[in-house]
Amino acid sequence: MRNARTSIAIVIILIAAWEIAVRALSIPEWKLPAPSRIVSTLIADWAVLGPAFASTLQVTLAGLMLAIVGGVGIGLIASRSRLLENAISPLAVILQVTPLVAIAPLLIIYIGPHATLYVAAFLVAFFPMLAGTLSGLRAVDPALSDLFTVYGANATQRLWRLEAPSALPFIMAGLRTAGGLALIGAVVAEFVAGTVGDQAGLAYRIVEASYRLNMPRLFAALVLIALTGVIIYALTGLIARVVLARWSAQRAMVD
Amino acid sequence: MAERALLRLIGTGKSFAGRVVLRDVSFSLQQGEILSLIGPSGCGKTTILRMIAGLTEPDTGTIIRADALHAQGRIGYVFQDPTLMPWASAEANVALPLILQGKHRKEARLRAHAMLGKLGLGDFTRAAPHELSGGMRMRVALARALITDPALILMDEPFAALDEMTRYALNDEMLQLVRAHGTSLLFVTHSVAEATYLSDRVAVLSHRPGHVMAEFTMPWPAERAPTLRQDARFTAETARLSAALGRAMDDSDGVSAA
Repeated sequence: MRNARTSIAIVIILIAAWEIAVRALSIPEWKLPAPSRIVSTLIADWAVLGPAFASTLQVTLAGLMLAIVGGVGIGLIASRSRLLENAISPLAVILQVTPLVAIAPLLIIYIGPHATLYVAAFLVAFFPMLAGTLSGLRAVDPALSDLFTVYGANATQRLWRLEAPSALPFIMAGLRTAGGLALIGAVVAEFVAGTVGDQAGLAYRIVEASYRLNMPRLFAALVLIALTGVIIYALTGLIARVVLARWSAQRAMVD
Repeated sequence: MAERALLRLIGTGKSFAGRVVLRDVSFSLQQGEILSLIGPSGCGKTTILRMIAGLTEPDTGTIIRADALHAQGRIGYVFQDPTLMPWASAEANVALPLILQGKHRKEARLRAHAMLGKLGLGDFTRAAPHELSGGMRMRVALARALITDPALILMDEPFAALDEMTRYALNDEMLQLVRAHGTSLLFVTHSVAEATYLSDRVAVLSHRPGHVMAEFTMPWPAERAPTLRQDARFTAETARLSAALGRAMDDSDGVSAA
């Protein structure tokens, strides 16, 4: 609680200093708008920024959701056989190490700009989910594994009662990473894809505002992107906390 | 005593990476008997338990298990650490062997609850392992080993990490429960006093490669009082075991040099 109070105080002091500096030094709006101007732009331009905010948030969450299902699902399947894991791992690594910006134009040609948004958010969030699932399933306490053997556990019981719970902290750690990456994926794809019909995201609005040197709107969109990141971060944190409620010893891994 | 042994090891041997850990280990265990294995650390005591539990196979010799040991859950195992699932409550941990046998969740939980009560943890059934003390965690592990009403429980230095008072208390409680159920116990320890107090018989193992150097039958009845620990006969018996353990260490020098 004290930590939270300190953080909030520091943010307020910084914003106040920014406001005072802009006014005292009469910095022109097209160089650096004051926080008050950014807030008023947020309200005035909400008709444009609101839908963009909703769009980016939706793309990010949808991409993340796909990555969770895909990463955990493929991780589970791959963990059942060494052969499958060896087949999937290099593909996943290639996907991980190739910058998304470089893949995005190809994606747009093949699947169109609209699907590219979602696939881009999915692609970057997929790897940490897969890696977390695979390393988690492998991180079973050998003594507990012996215990399950002594008591004659079958493969299904072992998976759901031992391996999956053992993997959860790792999967949750992967989720925290994947959440942040999904937003990056969504934003990068918007930069490349531009507007899609009526669905223009925050990144597109930033590009647009920068062409017009509309600094207050650029900053306002930036604030909303940061807010999206905070929402995702808080959401994944909450999920991890709920899922790992019984895992208090391991909570340190995701906090 | 003449009846068929519950468990018999005949000339079992085991090597790991070319190093002989156990050589020609033979002993037997009767129904309802408590046998302790003591020996220098690294003499393969844990390996003996693992072979009996089927976690590893002997390279040589045979292990003959009576029919009573063949069904799932007939052999209980208490590891050196409590080895509890950190995500599950005490009750769920104790219920695990029953769940793995395919028992209904409700029945398993009910029996786990009762067993925890017997071990003085009736108020902690919903507690997570990290909320329990070291002694309480070991009680949970004991409850889990007892829950299937096994014919044999293998224990690998389960109380080594506990303070003396807790160890004494757990020795007595465990003794009572095991006797009440007629369970056989194969108990690995490095404490001569603990072996003397708990056992009907004690087998002394030599240094690596481990084999049974000597067997001692304890002169006390199945039911024993905590005051036995202050008895002069107890002191004499521990001295006898300590001397045998000392010889086991000496003997190892000759063996390892060969």
